[in-house]
Amino acid sequence: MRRIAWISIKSFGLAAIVLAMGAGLAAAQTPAKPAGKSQNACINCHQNLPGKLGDPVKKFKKDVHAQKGITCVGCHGGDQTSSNFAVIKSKENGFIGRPKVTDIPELCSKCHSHLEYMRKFSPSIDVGQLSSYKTSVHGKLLAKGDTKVATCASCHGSHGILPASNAASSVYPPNVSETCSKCHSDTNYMKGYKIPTSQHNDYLQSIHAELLMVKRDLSAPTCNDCHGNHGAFPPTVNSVSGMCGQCHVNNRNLFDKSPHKKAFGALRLPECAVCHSNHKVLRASDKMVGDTPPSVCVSCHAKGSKQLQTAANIRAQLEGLKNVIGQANNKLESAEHLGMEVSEAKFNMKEARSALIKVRTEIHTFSFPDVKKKTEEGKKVAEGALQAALAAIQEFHGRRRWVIFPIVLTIFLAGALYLKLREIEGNDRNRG
Amino acid sequence: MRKLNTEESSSAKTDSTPSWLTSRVPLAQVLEFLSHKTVPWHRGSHWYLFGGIALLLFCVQVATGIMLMFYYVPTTDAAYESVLLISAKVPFGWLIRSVHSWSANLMILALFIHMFSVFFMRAYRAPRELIWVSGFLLLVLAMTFGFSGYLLPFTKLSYFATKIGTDLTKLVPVIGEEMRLFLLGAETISGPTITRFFALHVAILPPIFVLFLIAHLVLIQLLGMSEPMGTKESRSIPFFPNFVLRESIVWVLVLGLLAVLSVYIPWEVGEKADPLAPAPAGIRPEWFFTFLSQSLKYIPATVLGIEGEALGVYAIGLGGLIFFLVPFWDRWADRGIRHWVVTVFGILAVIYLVTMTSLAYFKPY
Amino acid sequence: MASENIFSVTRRKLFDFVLGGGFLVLAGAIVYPAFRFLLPSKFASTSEGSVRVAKTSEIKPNSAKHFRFGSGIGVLVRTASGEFRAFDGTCTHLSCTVQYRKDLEHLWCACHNGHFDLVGRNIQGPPPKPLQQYEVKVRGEEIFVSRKA
Repeated sequence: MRRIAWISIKSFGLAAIVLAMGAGLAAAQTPAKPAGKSQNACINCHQNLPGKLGDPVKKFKKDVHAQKGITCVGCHGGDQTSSNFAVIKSKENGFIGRPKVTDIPELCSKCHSHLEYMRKFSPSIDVGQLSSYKTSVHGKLLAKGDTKVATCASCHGSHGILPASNAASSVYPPNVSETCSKCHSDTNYMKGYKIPTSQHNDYLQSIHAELLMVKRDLSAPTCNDCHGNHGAFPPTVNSVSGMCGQCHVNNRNLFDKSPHKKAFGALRLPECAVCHSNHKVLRASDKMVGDTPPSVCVSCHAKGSKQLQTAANIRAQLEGLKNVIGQANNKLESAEHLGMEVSEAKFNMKEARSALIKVRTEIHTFSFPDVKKKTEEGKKVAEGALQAALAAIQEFHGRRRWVIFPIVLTIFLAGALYLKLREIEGNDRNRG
Repeated sequence: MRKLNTEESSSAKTDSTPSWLTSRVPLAQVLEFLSHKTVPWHRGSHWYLFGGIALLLFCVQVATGIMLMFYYVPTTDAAYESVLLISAKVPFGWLIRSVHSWSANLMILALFIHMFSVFFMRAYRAPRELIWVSGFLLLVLAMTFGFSGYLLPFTKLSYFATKIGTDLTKLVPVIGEEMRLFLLGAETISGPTITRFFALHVAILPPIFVLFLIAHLVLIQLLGMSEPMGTKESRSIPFFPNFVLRESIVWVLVLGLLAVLSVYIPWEVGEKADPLAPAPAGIRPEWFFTFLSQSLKYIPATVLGIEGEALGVYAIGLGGLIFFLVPFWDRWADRGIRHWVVTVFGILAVIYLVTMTSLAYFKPY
Repeated sequence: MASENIFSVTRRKLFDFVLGGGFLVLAGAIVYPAFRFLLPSKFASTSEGSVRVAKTSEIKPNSAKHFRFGSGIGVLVRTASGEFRAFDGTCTHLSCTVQYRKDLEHLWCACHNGHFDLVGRNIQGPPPKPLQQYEVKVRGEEIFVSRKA
C-alpha cells in the first residue's frame, strides 16, 4: 500500500519537478522575489500537489515556525536547496518523511528542550515540555507503545501550529476543551481506557466554561489548568483543594482547617468536588447549604443529624443577611426617589454586600459560630443603612407637619384683608 | 370721600415743590390715573380673578425657576443628580422645587378656567379679539413651558413622555421629521435634547411669554375690561383699593394653597431615565396633555386609509383652531346675541377635555 | 360720638398694624427659604470630575486611604517610594472593596484573596480584570483625584 502511494507520487512528482524548475527559472529572472522561497524545493513541488500532499504548504504559511524562519526540513529533514529529487529526500541528508507517532515528542524536543536555542525566541520560554510529558498518562502510555494517546501534534497540530495566545489556535484557552474532547468525548476511541467521556459536556455547563467561553475571561480555568498541559494527569483525591485553591485561595484555606478535610481524606473523597462536582462546576448558590434538597449536605449527612442542623442554621444566617440587605436596598431606593439624602447609607451598603460575599466564603469553615460572626458584621451595616433609609422616609412625611404654618398665615391674612375690604366698602356704601 | 382725597392730594402737589424722587420718577400722573381707574363689577367678575391668579403664579414660576437654575445642570449625566441634589441636600431645595412644579400646574389650570370663563361670557367679542388671541397664545406658551420643563429632571417618566410627545411632530406634513430632529438636536433624546429643552424653557419661552403678557395687559388697560352682554347700566368699583384688595385676598389664598400643596404633597424625584430600558407601564405626559394622549388611544390604527394617529392629531388641532378663532366667527356676539351654537361648542369642549383627562387617570387602558 | 370715632380710629390703626405685621411674616416666610436656598452650601456640588481626597501630610508612604468617588469608592495609595496613585476601589471580581497591604506593598481584596499590583493589574487570585487607575494631581498640600480622560 505504501509502495503504491510512493510510486504514484514519484511519477506525479517528476512532472511537478519539471514545472517547478520552470517556475524557478522564472523566479530567477524577477529579482524582486525573495531568493529563499525559490530555493525551498519542498514547497516548489508540494504547493502544486493536490489534497494531503499540497495542504501542508498552505497551512504552514501561517505556522509560528514558518514565521520564525523554520522550514520543512527543520522537522522532516532532507535538503531543500537541491534540485535533485533523490538528494532532497535522501536518508543521508536526514530525510525522515512523515515522523512516526512515537517519535514526535522527541522530534519536537530537539529544539523545544534546548534552552540556548529557544532563548533566541523568548528569554523566559519553558523548555520542560518533554520531561513533563513523560510523566503524563499520555507520555507513559506512549512509552509502552500505545499510539492512540496524544502527542504534541494531537493538540498543537502539525503544519498550522499557532501560539496559544492566538485565538485561532487549538490551544487558545477557550478552544482547549474542544481540542481535548476530540479524543476524550469519543466513546469509540476511548473504549478500553475505562474513563468516562462526559467531561467536555459537563465542563460546558460549568461556571468556568461560561466565564471562559462566553465572557472570554481567559483567567477562568479549562482542562489544562487542573490537569496540567504537558504533564496531564488526573488530580488525586487529596490534591483537589490544591487545584481549586490556585484561584479560590480563601475557600481552600478555610476548607483545609475544617473538619471535612480530615473526614474526606479518610473516606478518600475528592474534597471540593464532593459538593461542587469536578467538571460540571455549577455557579454556586446559597441553596447548596441547608437541611433539605437541593442542599448538597443531605447527600452525606443523615436527616435530623446535628450536622444538618448546623447546615440549616448557616443557611438561616445567610438568608437573614440577604433579607436585611434586600430590605435596606429597597428602602434606600424609595427614599432616594422621594428626593431624600441617603447617599451615605447607600455608600455603606457596599460594605454589607462585601460582608455577604465573605459569609459565602466563610461557609467553607462549616462552623456556625464563624459564619454567624461574619453575618453579624454585615447585618450591622445593612441594618444601619435600613434605619437611615426609614428615617429619611419618615422625615419626608414628617415635613407635612409644617403645613400648619401656611394654613394659619393664609387664614389670618385672607381674613384680615376681607375685613379690610368690608370696612372700606361698608364706608363707601354708607357714604354713597 | 375719595373725590375729596384726590383733590387734597392734587392741591398738595401743586403747593409743595416736587421732591427729589418725584421729579426724577414722575409717577404722579400714573398714581393719579390709578386712583381714578375703575373696573366693572358684576356677577361674572369673580371669574376674571383667575387671570390675576395665573399672573401671580407666573411670577412665582420666574422666581423659583431662577433659583433652581443656581443648581440645575442640563446634561444627561448630571441632570437627574442635580435635581436629587436640590431635593436632598440644598436647604429648602425640596420646597422650592415642589413650589415650582405645583405652581406650574396650578397656573395652567388657572389659565384654562380663565379661558373658558372668557369664552362663555363672550368677552372676546369686538373690539377685544386680540386680547383673546394673545391670551390663547399665552396658554399655548404655558403648555410648551410645561412640556419642555417636564424633561429636565431626566426621570424615567419624563424621558418616555417626552419621547412620545416629540414623536408626534412627525405628523406635521413634509417637515415633520426635520422638526423632530431640530427639537431633539439628535436622533434620540440625549445630551443635545436636554440643552435644547433647557434653552427653550429658560431663555426662549420666558421673553416671548412676557411680550404676549404685556400685550395682553396693555390691551385690557386700553380697551377696559369687558362687561357682560346686555347689561344696560353697569356697576363699577374703584381699581384701588377695592379691586386690588379683592385680588389680594385671592392671591393670599392661592399662595397659601400653593404652600400647603408643596409641603403636604411634595413632588418626588422619581427614577433616573434609562434610555435603554423598555418603556415602563403607566407613562403619561403632564396632566394637561393627557386629553391628547388619551384620545389617541381610542383611534384605530387606520381610518379610511389615513393613519389614525395623524387623523386624531389633525382633528384635535382643527377643533383647537376653531376654538382659537371664535372671536372671528361668532358674529352673533357682536350683535349682543348669546347664540346656542357657541355655547354648545364650548360645553362640548369642556366635556371632552374633562372626560379624556379623567379617563387618563382613572381608566387609562 | 367723638370718643367713639377716636376709638374706631385707633382700632383701625391697630388693625392696619396687625395686617402689616402679617404681611411681614409672609414676606419672611418667602424670603428666608429663598435666602437659605441660595446660600452656598458645602454639600451642594454635583461635580464628579475631580475630588479632593486628602492632604499630602495625611498619608504616609506605604499606606492608603479610601475615598468616595461619584457613587463608588476609590483608594489612594502612597507607594513606599512616596508616589501617589489612585484606583477604583471596587474589586473586579465580585465588587468587594480592595485594601492596601503594607506587607505586600500592593492592593488586596479580602473576599477572595485577589491581588492587584500598583498599576492596578490583577496579578493573583480570581479578579478577571485590572482595577481602573485614576489620575492624581497634587496642588500644594491638596491631593485631587479625577477619572483619566
